[in-house]
Amino acid sequence: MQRWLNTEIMEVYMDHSATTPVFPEVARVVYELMTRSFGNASSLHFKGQQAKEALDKAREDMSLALGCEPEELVFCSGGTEADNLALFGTLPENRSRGLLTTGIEHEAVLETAHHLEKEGFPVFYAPVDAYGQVDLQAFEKLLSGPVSLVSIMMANNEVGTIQPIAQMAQMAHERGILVHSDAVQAIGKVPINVKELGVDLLSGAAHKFYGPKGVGFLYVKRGTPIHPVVFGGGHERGLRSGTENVPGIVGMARALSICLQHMKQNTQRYRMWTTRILKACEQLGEFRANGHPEQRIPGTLSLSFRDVNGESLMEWLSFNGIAVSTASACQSHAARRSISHVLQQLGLERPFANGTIRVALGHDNDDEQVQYFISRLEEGVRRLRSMNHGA
Amino acid sequence: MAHKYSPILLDHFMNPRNIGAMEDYTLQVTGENPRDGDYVRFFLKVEEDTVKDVSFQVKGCPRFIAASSFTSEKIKNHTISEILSMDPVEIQETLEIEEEVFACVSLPLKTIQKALLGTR
Repeated sequence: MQRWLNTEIMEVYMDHSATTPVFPEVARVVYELMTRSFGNASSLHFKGQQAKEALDKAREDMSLALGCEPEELVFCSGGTEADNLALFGTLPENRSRGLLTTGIEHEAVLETAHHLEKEGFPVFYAPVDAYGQVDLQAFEKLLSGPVSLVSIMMANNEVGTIQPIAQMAQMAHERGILVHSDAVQAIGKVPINVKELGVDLLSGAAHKFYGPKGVGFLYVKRGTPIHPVVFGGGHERGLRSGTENVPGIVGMARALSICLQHMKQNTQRYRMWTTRILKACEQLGEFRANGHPEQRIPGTLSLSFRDVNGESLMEWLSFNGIAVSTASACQSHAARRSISHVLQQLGLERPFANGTIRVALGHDNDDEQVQYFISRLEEGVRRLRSMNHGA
Repeated sequence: MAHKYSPILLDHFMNPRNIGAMEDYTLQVTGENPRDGDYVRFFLKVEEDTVKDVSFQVKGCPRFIAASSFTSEKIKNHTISEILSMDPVEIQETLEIEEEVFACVSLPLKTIQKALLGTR
């Protein structure tokens, strides 16, 4: 009989694909705007104009960072709202043509797609390969159907695979089809220039790149036919009514700027750490690393271990002070294990899919934390396997 | 540190009692969820109508591991009649597990009860 004892626990956050801590500098700016320059940017008095100046400056900074014009940005509450606006706002009301997406999108797109299907829109799903990249031949064939909008994520939130968005945008535009990309997981991690990508619409969420929660944006290329889905005071050029979240928007712009400053250095650090982590995993045996080996978000790893339950491994790590996520958790309403739709689409064998965790490194991690993570991961996998040894 | 599970569940998950195989068992029984590939295998040493010793091997989520460990402690040194009258709801309530996953957390006790019933 064995007992598990943990004496030294270090708090390590490695779930940066779920959300990120706000940069202290960003938090200071947000606080300042919430408490001093708190005016309504629509107000004509000096307090309102203070807020409007801050909003205009943030819009300009964001547009420079993304390679677009300031008036091409629509600020909103986050990635989910941006995705909903992109899809509901551009599809034709007569439902004659619909959506082409994939089965590995975030729920913000996938659930919206399912809703559109129920509403009578034609919806098509492009298949992906074992790495999670869209099959371009199948994609091209599907473009010849009744499609008016393509919506494909730039980087997958579970396995980190990056899609060839620029290539797909060109293929879609040749047929007069609009292109949206949910870039929530990519912004701040890889360089993004919307003009170079050639997309018409692109979604982002501040809390994924060290900004505040509850704020995001949709890039809408000038001339793109789009109508609002929220009505009111006509903010954001009529596309998103509602008093602008100026502190959040300014915080988002500042966070993106800091991410861009540190991008090269962080990419190098994440590559070094992921190599180290993958080597340790290989030594544990009966292991799979999911996602594309090269075309991927730096620092995001999807790790699958046979004979290990992913939820138990995640909880073991959590008890040891390490926050990661799992792609396989019991759903209380179903009383059965649910394997993520992404791993299912990638065709990962169930014994591995059941034992999957996602590790997403971030700006605040360091060498010591990575070493601690590796040691706890090795012990966790060995302990959980030892529980069913010989079965 | 805040946790999703109750302290007693976490204790049984992190420090499972009676874990491992047993060589001199008199009864071995496996309960499984074929869909998930999760299972628990109990080794029981039954002497004179009493479970004198128990151990188990398991693969599953924290609730399942904890429920298996708790069950193993609960049945040890009890007679077959006493074990057959045990209610899995008690285990669910003690470990503070949601009612929705009752089927999963009751599996260890039900597996043992079914096997013991077969010895009669």
